[in-house]
Formats: sequence, structure tokens, C-alpha cells
Amino acid sequence: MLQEREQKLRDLMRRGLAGDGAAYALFLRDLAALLRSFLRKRLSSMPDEVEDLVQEVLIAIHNQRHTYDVAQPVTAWAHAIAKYKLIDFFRRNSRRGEQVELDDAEDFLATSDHDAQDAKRDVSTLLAELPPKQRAAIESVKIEGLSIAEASKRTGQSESLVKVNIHRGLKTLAARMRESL
Amino acid sequence: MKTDQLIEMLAKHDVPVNKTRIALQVSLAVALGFIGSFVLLLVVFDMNPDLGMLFNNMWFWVRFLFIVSVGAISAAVLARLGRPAEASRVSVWLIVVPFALLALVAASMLVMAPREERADMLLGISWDVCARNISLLALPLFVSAIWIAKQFAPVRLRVTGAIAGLFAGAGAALIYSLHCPEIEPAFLVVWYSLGMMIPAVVGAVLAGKLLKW
Repeated sequence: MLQEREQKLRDLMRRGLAGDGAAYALFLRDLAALLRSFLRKRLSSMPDEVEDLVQEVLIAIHNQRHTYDVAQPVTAWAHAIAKYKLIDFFRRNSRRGEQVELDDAEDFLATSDHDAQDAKRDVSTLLAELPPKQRAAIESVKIEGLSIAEASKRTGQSESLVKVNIHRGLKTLAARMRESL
Repeated sequence: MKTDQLIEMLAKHDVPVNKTRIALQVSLAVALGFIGSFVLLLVVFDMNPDLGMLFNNMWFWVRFLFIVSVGAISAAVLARLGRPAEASRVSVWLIVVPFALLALVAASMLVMAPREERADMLLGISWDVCARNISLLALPLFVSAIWIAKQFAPVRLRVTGAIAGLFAGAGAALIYSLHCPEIEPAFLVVWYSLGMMIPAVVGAVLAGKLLKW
């Protein structure tokens, strides 16, 4: 059962990395449910922060997707990032003493939660505050759905610059999310 | 923004990663670090005019091998530390091997040497500046190594910082060996090791600030 879940996730991720956006969205959606359950259990005293942290981990996972090796279980990889982000969150909120239960990737895979609450921090506000070039690239490609070529025409940035600005913009976004929680 | 909207945004276009580009960036950063360190060597210390004569000396090559193995092991460990799925399974202690081997060689040579020569073997002519000089040359490489580590996803920050620093230290030692005439194993195992460990300690101390993501 867990094996099957892992297999399914890994397959979606692999297709996503090969350019299948729909598969990648499914992967992120399944992962979000796993993260929500994982974080809700560990942030029982701060239930309002759960969805914000889910979003932060999702962006982190997306930004670091090049560190995933398709030969490895994707759950172990995502779980390691989630754990890092949770410990980082505790540290930021000066709860150094907090014990993070160091369960293994199997437990991470065992329960999922599709019931998303509202996030406190609005990512669209943070997006609007990005440096103009990064914002323009992200808005045209990632929100309006233009192709890289169309976005290049619209923004006057070369195609590779559009890609670089998307990448940088999402990294800036991740850093600002981290600061704002 | 709702989580579902965020997911939709992340998944729209441009998901595949360009591995060649990443490899290129990493190589470029390493090259820049070495060039920076080499320029620093030329400006501050200059090359050893008798370098060519050392090529025939076996201990010159032992020094070379020692430094290169520290650098290669730290690079390999660093590459795995940057990948969250592998980071917890990396055996960092592999890095001790070149130090331990050289220490063994140095110790046996010290034991066999006449008592009055031992101090010279340990201190050479530059013991008081060696570690400081290597740490200085490590600066550009340190910046590169930290930048590279940041392009990945280190989940063990302190260890990653230390290994990045050690890599910079080994690179700096390699550059410094173009200037430094010391090739006695006892000298190397003390002062070169110290020189490489200073950036490693700095890396470990600053990791929380420099590497967080």
C-alpha cells in the first residue's frame, strides 16, 4: 500500500520533471496532503500556521527539485525537506527546545489530509512585491500561462532570461515567505 | 493565495530542470574560486622559484596527493550533503582517512629520526605563517563553495558548512603549495591540516547564517 503510494508519487514526479505539467500538479497536490497531515500533527499548538508552512515547503520542494534523483524514493526526499523546514520554523519561532519527532519516510507516507485551511500569509501579496523583472516573468508564465517565447516578447527579456527570472523570483519568494512567518 | 492556486502556479510551464546549466554553474564557481585564490597567491606570496626542483622529490607528490584527496573527498561528501534524500546517510568521517594516513607516516618518520632533527621536521621554516596563509588563500574558494552549497538543498547545515570550508581549505593548500617549500610530512600534517581546518570551523560556525534556505 505504502509502496504503491510511493510508486505513484515517483511516477508523477518523473513525468513532471519530463515536462508533464498536469502530472506535476497532481504530484504537488498529493504531496501537499501528506505535508498537511505531517505538519498538523507536529504543530498542534499552532494550528493556524500549518497551511502557511505547507505552502512554504511546497515552494521549497519546487525550487530544489533539481536535487531529486529519480533513482531514489521521492518520499524520502520530500520528507527530508519537510523535516528541515519544520526544524527551521521552530528555530525561527525560538522554540529551540521543541522535539521534532524524527519518524521515517514511511510514517510520512501513511496519512494525508486534503482539508486545506486558509493560509495567513498571502503569497500573491509577496509576489506583487518581487523585483519588477522577476515579477513580470512569473506573472506572464506562471500565472497567465504564456509560453516562454510569448513571455519573452511581452517582457522584452530574452527566453533564457525569462527562465532565470522565474527561478530567481521563486527563490526570492521562498526567502520572503521564510522571513514573514 | 490558496494552496491549490499556488500548486497550479508552480506546475505551469518550465518545470523540467536544466542539469547541464547547473553543472556549468558549479564548474564556473569552482574555477572562479581557484583563479581568485591563485591571483591572491601571486599578489601576496609569489610562486616558489625552485618549484621545478621539487618535482623529483617523492615527498612533493605525497603532499600533492594528501591535499588532493582531502579536496576530492570533501567535494564528494558535499555533493551528497546537498541532496536531502542522501544527506542523512553520508559518512562524513571518510574525510579523516587522508589525515590519519599522513599522521601515521609522519609519526613513524619522527620516531626514526635523530632526536635533534625532530623539531626541524615539525616546524620547518614557516610553521608560524603556514596556517594563516592557507586560510587567507581559502577566502575566494570559501565564497565559491558556500555559493555552490546554496544552489542545492543542504539539510544538515553545520556539517555542510564545515565540509564546504574544508574543500576551500584543501583548494587553498593546493594553491599555496606552489609557493611553500615545506614537504616534510610532520610539518604538513600539523600546519597544513590546521590551515585547512580554520575555514572548516568558520564554515561550521557561519553555516546557520550563510546556508539557510
